Amino acid sequence: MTGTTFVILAYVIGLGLLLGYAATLWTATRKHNRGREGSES
Amino acid sequence: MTGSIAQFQLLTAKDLKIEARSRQTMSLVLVLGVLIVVVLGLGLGTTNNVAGFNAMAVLWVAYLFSGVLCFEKTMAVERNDNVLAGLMMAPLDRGLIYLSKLASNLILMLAVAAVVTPAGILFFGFDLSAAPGSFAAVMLLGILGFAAIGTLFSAAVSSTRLQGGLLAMMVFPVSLPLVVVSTQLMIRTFRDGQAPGLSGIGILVAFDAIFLVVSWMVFELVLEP
Amino acid sequence: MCTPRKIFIRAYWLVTFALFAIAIGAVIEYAPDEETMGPIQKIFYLHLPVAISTFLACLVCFIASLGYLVQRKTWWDDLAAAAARVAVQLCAVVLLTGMIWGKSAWGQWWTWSPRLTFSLVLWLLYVVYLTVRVSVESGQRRAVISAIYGIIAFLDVPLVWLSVRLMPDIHPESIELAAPMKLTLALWFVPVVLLTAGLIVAKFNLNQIQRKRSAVLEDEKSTAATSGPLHWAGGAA
Repeated sequence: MTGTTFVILAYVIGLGLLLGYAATLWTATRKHNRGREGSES
Repeated sequence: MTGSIAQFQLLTAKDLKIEARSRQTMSLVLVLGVLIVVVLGLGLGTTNNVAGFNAMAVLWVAYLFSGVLCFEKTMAVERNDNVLAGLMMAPLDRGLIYLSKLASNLILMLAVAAVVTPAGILFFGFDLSAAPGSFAAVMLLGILGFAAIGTLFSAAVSSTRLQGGLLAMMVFPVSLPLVVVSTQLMIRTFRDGQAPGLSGIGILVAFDAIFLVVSWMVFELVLEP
Repeated sequence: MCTPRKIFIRAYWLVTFALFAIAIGAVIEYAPDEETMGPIQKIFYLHLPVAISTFLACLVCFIASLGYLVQRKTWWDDLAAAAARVAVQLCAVVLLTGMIWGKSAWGQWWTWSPRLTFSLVLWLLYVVYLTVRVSVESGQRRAVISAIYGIIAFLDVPLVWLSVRLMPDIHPESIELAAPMKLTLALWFVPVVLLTAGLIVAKFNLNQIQRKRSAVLEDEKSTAATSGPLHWAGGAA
């Protein structure tokens, strides 16, 4: 593996973990809000 | 002030008497400690790849596991017969309860160390003659810091269901600086022949001081009858 | 419904992602290769800001733990838990990027060097925090135990840092940063810190929602048990 491959690997994993977690939080929050809005209708 | 000291002595003596009568905790903890040293010795010691000073790491594993068991048991004593509720109602400085628990734990741990340490030194061929004082100082400072944290956490988790496992999980990572410093200092002293510098011992002293004070201050928040 | 709050949140994340895009562009096009290490050094632009942010998250957890012990308000507890969760995620990134750097620069996935060891211990300290929370059932007891552990764990961090410096550092790195490198680094700090703050707030909100939800469920259970057939219209939990 060349140096550049390692760099790409690092960024993919790093940003994947961070932005992926952001996405997880977003989905979870939306699910809860949907549930709440449903009950208020 | 003398009242406090007398109370402290009373509390500590109570714990030690209970222990002396049943010898439950001590037997368990001692045997466990020695067994751990033996297991690691069997696993590591036979290839001659493990140097004497690596015994420090093995001893720490033994102290950590047997210590957690010890702390759990001494705290469990309070749960029986609602001793803790009684203590909390008494006009006692709560910090004293911490200090007396710490003292009992320390005495028990030192008793364990008195047996387990020679076992470790023996099974790993640790030649202490170069700097026995350094070894003793590092070991004692380490056990003090470990007991300071262990006493606080064992009180915190004694009311939970998972007790011992939770206690081990909480104490181990926090105690890692003790393990790192003591093993590194032993390497420097016994392999490289350097005297343990102030920085190493300084970290141990800082650890002990910080966590003794913080645990003592925070202890009463943790008690729950 | 477009409340000012929702608009702010959308703008916030839009800006953060845009900054990330710019920062990535800077790493690809703008930042020069370092002399001795080559392209590998570029991992640094992600690694360092995330490391600093990890520390910030741990600090937030510490302050929130103190806050809970002093004020006993549940939102301190929710904040501490959120900060710890984010710290674990960030620290995992620090650990993994550090390992990748080590593998690419020195050929080994793991060495007990001061930096890697510190990252590992920090990660473990806060993984334990999260596990403690899972292991204690009573809400109030959990909050107290977590708060105490949160305080002790944070106080331990400088001690860990000092102790690992005693460990042998076979590959000490001193990186000379040229001006474009410094700019790239600064360019990375902003979105990473914004992301960290955003993650903590988002997780905090989620914790609060879940807390209210389980409070409602508890209420329901007790009223259903004590009163007659009560019809609760609306979606399930």
